[in-house]
Amino acid sequence: MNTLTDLLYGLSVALQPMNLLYCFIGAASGAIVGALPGLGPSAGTAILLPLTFGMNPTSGIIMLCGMYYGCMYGGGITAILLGIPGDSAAVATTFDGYPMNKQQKRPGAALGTSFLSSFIGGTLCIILFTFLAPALARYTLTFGPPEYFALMLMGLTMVSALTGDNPIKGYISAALGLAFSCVGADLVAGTFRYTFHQVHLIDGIDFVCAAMGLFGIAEIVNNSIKDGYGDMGISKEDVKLSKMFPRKNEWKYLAPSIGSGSLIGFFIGMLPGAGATIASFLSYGLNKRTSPRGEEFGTGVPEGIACCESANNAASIGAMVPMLTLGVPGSGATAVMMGALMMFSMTPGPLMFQNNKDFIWGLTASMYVGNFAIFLLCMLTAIYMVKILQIPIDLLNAVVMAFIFIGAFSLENSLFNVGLTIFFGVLGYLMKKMQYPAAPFVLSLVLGNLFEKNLRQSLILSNNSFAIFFNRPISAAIMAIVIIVVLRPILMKLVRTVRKTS
Amino acid sequence: MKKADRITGIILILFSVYFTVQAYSYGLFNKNGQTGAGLVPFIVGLLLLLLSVILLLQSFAVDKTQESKETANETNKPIFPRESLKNCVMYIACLCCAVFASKFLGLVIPLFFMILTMILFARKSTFKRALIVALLTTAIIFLIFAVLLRVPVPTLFIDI
Repeated sequence: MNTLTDLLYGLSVALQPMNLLYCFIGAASGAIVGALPGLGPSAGTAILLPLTFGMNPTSGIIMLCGMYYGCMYGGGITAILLGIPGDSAAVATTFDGYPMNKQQKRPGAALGTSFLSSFIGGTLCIILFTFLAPALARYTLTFGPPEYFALMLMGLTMVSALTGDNPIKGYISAALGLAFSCVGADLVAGTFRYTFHQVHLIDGIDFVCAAMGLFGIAEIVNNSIKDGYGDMGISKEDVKLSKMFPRKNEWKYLAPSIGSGSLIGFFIGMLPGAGATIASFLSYGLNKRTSPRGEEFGTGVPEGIACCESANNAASIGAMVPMLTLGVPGSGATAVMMGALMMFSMTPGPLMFQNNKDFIWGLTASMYVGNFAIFLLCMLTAIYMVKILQIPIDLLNAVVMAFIFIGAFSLENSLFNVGLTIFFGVLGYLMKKMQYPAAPFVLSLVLGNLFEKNLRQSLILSNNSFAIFFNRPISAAIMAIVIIVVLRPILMKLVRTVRKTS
Repeated sequence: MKKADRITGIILILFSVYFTVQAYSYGLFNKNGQTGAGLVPFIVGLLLLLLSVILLLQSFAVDKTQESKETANETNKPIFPRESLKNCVMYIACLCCAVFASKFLGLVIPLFFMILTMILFARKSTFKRALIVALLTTAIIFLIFAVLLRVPVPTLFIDI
């Protein structure tokens, strides 16, 4: 009952005209960014971040969240129309989305199925979030510094191990992020560390510069050799509203696909590092095996689209759970959002559910509103979105670069931050080419100070004994997961050798 | 990629050694025996060193089938394709020039020329189109940041 009362209160916050407007701007730009080649939710939230500086925290985060789940809607558009996913989370959508468009000549229905399943999946998971997140937050109120340190370590380890092909490169990226987070005045004694006598570095490196450089500049430079989408061969007639709904007889296949996709997406999304891409592939694999029309998957069946799109949208909602309840983001985009929260002087974690009810419930309610708004927008303006995607890539790149430039400047009204952003852009480009994932770097940079604070507090509690992380049951269990994740490649190798010999 | 990993590994080892030594100089523990400013950077430095060594060893230790595949891939596909590298240099040069020019001209004019140069360099749009986009973008950015968000966007000299 309490939750419903809180949610109603949140609705009154979310439905304030300005919040509604920001939610809509975020979601609409998310749908466009998600569909653009190369730019994903991490880059989108990083680029949008400077626009939130003048807002109150609730409006700012509502806009960033809108961008995040808006991206999941957008990713499917090009996956269906061109067979080119807007971001990695939409790769599995191409398997049935593109054939449904090309072979079955049903582009409208394919897009409609994608939007509809995203909407249903997203809404189901927001309901789960509404009831699960406060309960989890209440449980984690008992956590102390050792548990928080262990949780952050687990988040960093899982994101590093699961993003990219080589876990060592993921770990290096995370370690580099932690190294950069050490720059600036020490938390306790105030000793200046790695500041090179630069006044601008005393407060540390602003994560916004790193996020805009690593996700924004690096992505743009890397994708600059690609061509734009050009003409997609879609007419207004193809995406008429009446043609965008699945047929009546298809619903019996769609309903279980959307349901399972949503559940898989939500719980996979909650795991650090797993994210929307893994969720959509898992959901596709499971549905292919269990659906009555499983053999037809890959030929353009709507449930093939529905299971992926509901899963990736659900994962984006699931990813908010650990970020808001534990203060441990599990992906690049949620790391940017957590950084934004900290920038607004709010500390994500269980206390936020008690101290910042306005914010938490306003945000939760805005997810319902935003999800519905972006669904309506996509259904009604699909043709215009297609037109926007035909804008030449060279123009888009230059415009986004200009926004990054001014965004970096507006952080502290200083050109130093612009220089720092350019430095991270070059670093991000090199990392991309050398196959080092950027998400662990940004995640470490955002968590760095909290990571250090909790480690030092734990060591003070235990008279400098690292055994404290293994003496307390919850932190010991989390540390065991960390050890398993780190040793996973060796364990897998051992299992394979044993299987071969037997 | 293996060759690139070796070079990166060596650079990272040098960086982590510097980072660790510097961290040690900040003090691992203070006079009261509590953790000092250097402890966490020291641990991070050591971790980075360990990972860099593993990366280096990994780049040498590859089985023959994988190595032959990698070698074939390396010859076919360079890590930094010429076109991509050219674009990277162009974008970064444009950004750096804009930063430098902003010192003397404020943000608006350099921003306009930065957008124009970036579009023209891609050689996909006409000069007229590039000019219109550059003008419009600069105007919109000025409107959003200077007017709506009240960021003090300097139009002339900036103290950095």
